[in-house]
Amino acid sequence: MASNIRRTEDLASGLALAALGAAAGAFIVASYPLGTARQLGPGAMPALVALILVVLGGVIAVRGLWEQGHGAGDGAGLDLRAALRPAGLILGAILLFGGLVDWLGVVPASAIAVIGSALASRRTRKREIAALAAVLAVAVPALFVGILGMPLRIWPTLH
Amino acid sequence: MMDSLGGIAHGLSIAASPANLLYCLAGALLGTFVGVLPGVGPLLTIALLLPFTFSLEPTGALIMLAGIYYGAQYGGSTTSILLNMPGETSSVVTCIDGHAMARQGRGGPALAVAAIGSFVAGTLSTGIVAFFAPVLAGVAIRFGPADYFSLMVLGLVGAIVLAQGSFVKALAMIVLGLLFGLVGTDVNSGEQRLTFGIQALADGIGFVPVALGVFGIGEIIRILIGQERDGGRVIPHGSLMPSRQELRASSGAIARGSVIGSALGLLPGGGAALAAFASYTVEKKLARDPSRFGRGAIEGVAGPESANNAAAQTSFIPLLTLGLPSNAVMALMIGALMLHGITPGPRIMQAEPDLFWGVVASMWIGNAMLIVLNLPLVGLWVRLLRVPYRFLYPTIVLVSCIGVYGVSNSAFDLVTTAVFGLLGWVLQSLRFEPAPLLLGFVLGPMMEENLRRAMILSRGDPTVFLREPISLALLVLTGLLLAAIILPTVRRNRERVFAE
Repeated sequence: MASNIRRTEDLASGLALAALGAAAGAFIVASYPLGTARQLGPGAMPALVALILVVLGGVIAVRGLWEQGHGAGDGAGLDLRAALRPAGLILGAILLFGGLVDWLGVVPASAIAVIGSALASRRTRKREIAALAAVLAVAVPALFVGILGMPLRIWPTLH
Repeated sequence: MMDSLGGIAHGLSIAASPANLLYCLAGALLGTFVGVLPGVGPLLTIALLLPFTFSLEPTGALIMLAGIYYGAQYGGSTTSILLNMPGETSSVVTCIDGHAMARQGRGGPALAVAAIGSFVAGTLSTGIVAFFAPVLAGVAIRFGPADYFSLMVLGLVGAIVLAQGSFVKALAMIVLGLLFGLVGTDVNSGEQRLTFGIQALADGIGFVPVALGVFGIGEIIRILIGQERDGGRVIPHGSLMPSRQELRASSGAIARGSVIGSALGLLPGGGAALAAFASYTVEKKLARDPSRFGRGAIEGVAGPESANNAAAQTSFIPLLTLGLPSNAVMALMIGALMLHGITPGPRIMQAEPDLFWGVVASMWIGNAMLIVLNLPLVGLWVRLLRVPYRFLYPTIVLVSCIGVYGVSNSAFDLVTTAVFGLLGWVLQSLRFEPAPLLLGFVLGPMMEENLRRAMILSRGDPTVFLREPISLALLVLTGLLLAAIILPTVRRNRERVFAE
């Protein structure tokens, strides 16, 4: 059972890599000159790399079809439904930080990033999140901006 | 020889300047601090702390990064021994006997021997770096573009021969990394490649976002989906002093481990993990009573811990002399050097003698600092082991965000971080090792540059790679490695090594 899942995974991921390589390769060949053997153009190396990716993706897919899975997997697998909450919240927190840091300044953006990512774990209690956000949003910017001198805006500026 | 001695003397004078001593100390302590945290290995430690070094001048930055590296390794051995949680593959072996010793109430001596062994090994391998690096750089300076291209092919293939998991998948990750590495403006033609009109990608995909996304964010998502493990039960380590008998038993293992590690660290793909495995196997073979191993044999801690530290340091040789990273940690170092505007390669030693010798000397100083400071601080490190993951990971996310943004001041780099975080999780879930991706990513532009130059010099004749003797030899070596992987007997052996 587990080995079947694993084989399907290998087949699918191999095909995905091959497809990525093919798409990138087609785009590269269409958009950038390959140049001549003596004067390789900007498309040459990327096209070569994309071609190798297609071949390797193909090998992975074919091996996924033919080869017996090596026993049971470690139960990882690509579980999209289970990933929705943690991945969504963590990635969302990062994107929010990026969108807000310039506008709100680093301390408020940090608090938002911490709250967002802390919500990703089911174990965290609400009070802990508030405390964590309060501590980290001050301590980490203090370290980076205060001690290391990174040129970041700390608070929102009023226009 | 005289060059090396003079170089070390010069390096000591650089590394012993107050500022550099401070960076070295800060790096070693920070590295240990972060490396001790459960679930944070050396790779993520370095990626997280890389932005911290950004405002320093290059020598100080590299001294600090090297300190972070061996500090993180030291932290890894602490978690292995007291918690049975290896931070990375190179300390997996330490878990076996180290944790067994801890369960018998001998965790203190295990920690002490690991630290002493690391210091002895560090001393020997620093000497080896100082002696061999100039020799290798002298050879490498004669390399033409074709030789360089072949060297990188060998380096990339060599780096994954010993990687765990599927070889083809690792190869595919390298190639995917190469493709990502080529995104951005082509230096020769000025053409913007694969940027899809996004101006922020004109300089290529950011190195810090890729490293933090794949190794930090991706890993966090993976852990949160699976079983969130908290710090776990820490075993009291008892008195630190090893008995005289334990010291005698470990001295041979430390000496052998140092030699094995120094040698294996030089190989592409060798690095710390292989050295630790090799040393453990040797100690077990040499032991009068091999059955003690696995039940708390002190040689099983002393040997591998010495070996992985020695290898960690000699793996700087290919980096500093050839510009070739032998593993993902070294790829991070290359990225750091390039962020500081330094191209790694044989010219570093002449162009930047302060940097080269300063870093070499600081390795030895840093190891000495670790042994003096860390053994008394063990109690503090142990307390860090108890930090619950639900507090730890938001901190990692925040430090990643500020670090990424601080390096580039570009909000787009946070999008990159998120995208590569997602990619890192997907790849790991499908059992693709993400480390080779970083190697390819770093080497992509350099490979392309050398490929183009070689083709210009040969007037468009691709057989140049086979006609140049050095290039031919390197490609033959690559071929042998590939053949060895594909041949079934070797594959079985390799699986056995990892099964042990």
